[in-house]
Amino acid sequence: MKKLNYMLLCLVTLYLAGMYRYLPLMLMAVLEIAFMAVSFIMSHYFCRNLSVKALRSSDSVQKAHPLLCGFRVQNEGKLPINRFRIRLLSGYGAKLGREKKYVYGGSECGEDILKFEIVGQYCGILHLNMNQLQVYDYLSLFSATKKSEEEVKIAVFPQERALSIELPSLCYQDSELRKELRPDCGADIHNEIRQLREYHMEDSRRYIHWNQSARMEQLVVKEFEKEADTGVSLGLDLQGIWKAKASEMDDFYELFSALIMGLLKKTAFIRVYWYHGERKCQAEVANAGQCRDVLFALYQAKEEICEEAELVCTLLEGCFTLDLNLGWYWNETLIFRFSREMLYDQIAYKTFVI
Amino acid sequence: MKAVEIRPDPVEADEEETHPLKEFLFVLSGVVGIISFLGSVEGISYSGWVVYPTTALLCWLAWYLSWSRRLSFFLLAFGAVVLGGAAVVLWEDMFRSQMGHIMNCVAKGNDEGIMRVTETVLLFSVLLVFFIVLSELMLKSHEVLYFFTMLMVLLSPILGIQAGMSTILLLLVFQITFLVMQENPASGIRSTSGRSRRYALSVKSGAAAGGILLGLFFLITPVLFICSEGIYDYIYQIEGHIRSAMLRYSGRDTDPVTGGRVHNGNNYPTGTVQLDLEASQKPKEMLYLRGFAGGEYIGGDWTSSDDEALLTDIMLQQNWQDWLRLMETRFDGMYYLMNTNMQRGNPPNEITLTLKHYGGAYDNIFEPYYSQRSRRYYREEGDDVWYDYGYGNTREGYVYQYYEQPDMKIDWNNVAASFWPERDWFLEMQDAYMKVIRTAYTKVPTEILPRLTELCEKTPLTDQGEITAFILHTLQNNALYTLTPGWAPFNEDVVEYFLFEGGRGYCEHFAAAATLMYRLYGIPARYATGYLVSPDDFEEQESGVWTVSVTDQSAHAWTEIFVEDYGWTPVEVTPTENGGSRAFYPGFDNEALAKIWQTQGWEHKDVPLSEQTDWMEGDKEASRWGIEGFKRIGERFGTHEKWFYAFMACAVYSVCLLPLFLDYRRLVGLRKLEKAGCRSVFSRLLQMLQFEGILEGYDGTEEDFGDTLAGRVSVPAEDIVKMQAIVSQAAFGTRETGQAEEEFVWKMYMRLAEAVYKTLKWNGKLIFRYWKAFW
Repeated sequence: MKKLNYMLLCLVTLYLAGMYRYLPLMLMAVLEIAFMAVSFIMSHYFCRNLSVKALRSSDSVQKAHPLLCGFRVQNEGKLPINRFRIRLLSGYGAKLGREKKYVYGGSECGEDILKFEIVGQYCGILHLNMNQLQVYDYLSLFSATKKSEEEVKIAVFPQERALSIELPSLCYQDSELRKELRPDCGADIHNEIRQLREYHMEDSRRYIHWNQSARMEQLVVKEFEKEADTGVSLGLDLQGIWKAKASEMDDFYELFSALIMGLLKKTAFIRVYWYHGERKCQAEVANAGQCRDVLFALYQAKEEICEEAELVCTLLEGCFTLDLNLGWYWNETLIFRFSREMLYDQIAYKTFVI
Repeated sequence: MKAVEIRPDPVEADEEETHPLKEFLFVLSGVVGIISFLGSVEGISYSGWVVYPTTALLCWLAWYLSWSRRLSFFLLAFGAVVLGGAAVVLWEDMFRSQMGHIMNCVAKGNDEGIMRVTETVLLFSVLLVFFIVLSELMLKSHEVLYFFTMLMVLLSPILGIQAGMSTILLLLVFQITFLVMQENPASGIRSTSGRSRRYALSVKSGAAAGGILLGLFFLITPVLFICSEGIYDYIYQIEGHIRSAMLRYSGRDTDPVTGGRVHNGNNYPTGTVQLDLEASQKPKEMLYLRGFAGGEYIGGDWTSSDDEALLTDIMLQQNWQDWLRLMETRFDGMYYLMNTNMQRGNPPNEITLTLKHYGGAYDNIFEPYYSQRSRRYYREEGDDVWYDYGYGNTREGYVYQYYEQPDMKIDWNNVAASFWPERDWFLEMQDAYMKVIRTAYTKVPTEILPRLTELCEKTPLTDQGEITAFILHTLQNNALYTLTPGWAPFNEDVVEYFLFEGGRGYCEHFAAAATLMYRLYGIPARYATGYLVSPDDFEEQESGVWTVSVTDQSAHAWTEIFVEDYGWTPVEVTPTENGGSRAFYPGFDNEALAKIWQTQGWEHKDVPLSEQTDWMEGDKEASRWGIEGFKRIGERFGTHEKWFYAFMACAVYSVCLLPLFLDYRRLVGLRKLEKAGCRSVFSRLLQMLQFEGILEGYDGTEEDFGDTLAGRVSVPAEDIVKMQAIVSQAAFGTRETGQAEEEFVWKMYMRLAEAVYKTLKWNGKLIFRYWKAFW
């Protein structure tokens, strides 16, 4: 439209100049037309001399937090480039479903950095694929395009939330959980009480130290020491991961992260199991960093697992299991099925006593 | 919720803008362009030495304050407006008269002389400066000013304002630079490297665009001076095709010419047949077929002559009321009848002419001079009865009998006795008619033709021959014949513009100007339109008659004056093919014309043959490109002659200085390169090698780089490898390169460059040394 308007203006100027035999106006019309022609050439000249490369090919960020990204812009020409446009295909997973985004910039002669912020709203691997560079002339009448295959992968991790989990069964010598966790310790195990503290609403009533409460005339609860060699196992049922949407996977990753962080408050480590095809993968998670490693491995599994690679069912005996439908199991018993709509509330406010 | 959001870097988005000096220059170009445009209006003058420096100073101040102290800017702007308002109130009469004069000059053209309007222009420029700075730099809105300046430029020819090239260039630079500067992404993310750098970049881009525009200006201007006629012709050809197509499509192309409008614009004949003529014999003279005779001139238009009213007046004066109806019909063919009845014993050669309108529209009748319209009789096949169709019908056309001018020999004494009463009446009639037309056909609206009136007043003449000679002299010296003269400004009279400014026109303009000049000298004259048919166009048919199909290319306009014993007689004032004159009428011929011109000292300027001069040749035209174009450069420049020579001198000077400039550029480049460090030197070396096609595909890190290069140029491989190692150390090593190493690399570069240079041909050497500046 802009080109059409400009051409129309040139034609009107030229026509009036011709009809009134007005040489300065004719000069103006010819200059406008010549500038248009030069603009066309300039757009190609700029395009030929401009190259854009990603500053980093991979990065990580917490979900909903902005990440400062950048492209290194190299203008080898002699003239500044007022405007160019980078077409980015952004999204999670397959290329087909990616959303087009445009970033505009300009470049002086030499090197320049084009910075922008990116915010991933789902957990997973966010792909930022620069597939087209469009360079405009000074009036943006013409543009020349260049194909590009620059790609930036950004691992978007869940925000640090932890499920509120109580494991009182660890205190009971005959509990299955205790047997599972500490099969060698027998019946004489002494759970050391680290401290007594004031009762809070979210605390389980099981931990109320009734005797002490009676003495102090206010409710106090027992806090136990976390044993250094105590760990739980968590199996991940990834059935149907290939067809899960980014938003569904996001819920799963959020829950997984919160579960791990919640369990880590009570145990020293968590053994995480999952099946990648027929291959069993496992990792021991003792801190947030390791949790991110597992998450990244899961992100990669999501990208790699295709329809054909149907997964082995992974409801394991004697451990927790988490499936993609947000079901949390102990052995084969469902502890709780989280709701996708209420997930964040359930993570934040619900206390699970096992 | 969108899965991914991309937004500008918030830190850099908040950065403050920088304001390079170029910004001020862009604003200044706009302000000076607009003020200088105002100075182009005819009738306006102002003191440039007051206005321009003041404006520039104010412009700088406004620009500086606009980004450094915004509050001060607004206070200053407010103060300027208040002071301006106060000045207008205090000197109300002066400003009112100046503004009124400016408005009058812009809208109606200058008819009051030149007035100095420095105060008003100064006031206007103050307001303009603040408005431009506010709009362009503070509000970042270019649309209003772009629209305003564009409208101003486009309306200037329509209003007859002839702005100079420099003015137009300044305005164009202003428009383009700000267009570029404000070329921001319309959608998506407006993100580069922050507002500050973004704005600086847009200013740089604007400057680059302005530079390109200036470069184009210097390239195009000389070419345009040479080829402007060719460009005009192309535009006219396109317009002609469009207009002809529209006429054909609407079916109006077959309509015969009507009316007395002096067209403001080009004439594009379609070549469509409009009349079919059938003559009893081949004419010897050019055949004028008059369809319209003009009465009064009303700014580009002639009203139809009202002979009927004049005859009524005559009848009343002569007490011939009873014969009014008869006389009216007799008067039309009076000179034909007189000629028929007065040449006894030697009858004149009469031609019978049948006219048929091709399109079938008979609203306008075309009559030859010295003629009488005949009644038509028609007999059906096999029928003995003749039917009277009167003076014409739509199927068969109409018929005139006429004499050619050389066959008009009226001798009042050589007439049969039976015709004496009629002869006497004719004689009285002619005397009476000649009296009334002195009033009726000498009217000129002098108020809309001041320059033409002044011209005639300055050259007082009484003799008809001298007047005709002066008219021809004026027309041929002031105007060129062309079917494409272009348009006249809407606020100027088309005839005045043709004669005093445009200097180009076709028959309508020539005839209108001549008619008005005749009238200004008190000679009754009429503007006539119709067709002019050449005798050579007639073709003999088997039946013995001569026919011709008349197209709109034969449409013509001419002047007619009243010649005693001939009546209204055509005077051809439109120049002929070779620029000559055909303005002959009884008592005035070529010889008389030459004699008068010689006596009066009126030199006749030859009209260039390259111009379209033949109204019979349609759009046949000699080439206007090349040599003819060069010849016209001087003419084109006219008042800008000094500028032209200055420009040409600059161009020649630049060409002469080019070698020096290139050598200087080369030396500066090499000096910079020497200081840039060994990595830059090595990079330049690679560029050089790749440009010359040596070691294509090598990036300098290859192991065989030294050996291969040594094989191509006569430099030892060890030195090249050593250089390679130094550069590698500088690029990837942990320690910095020493002075000696830097010098070694530089010397190697020079040695290699020299070695490469020696392998080149002479033209390659020139490019290598002076254009690419490698060595």
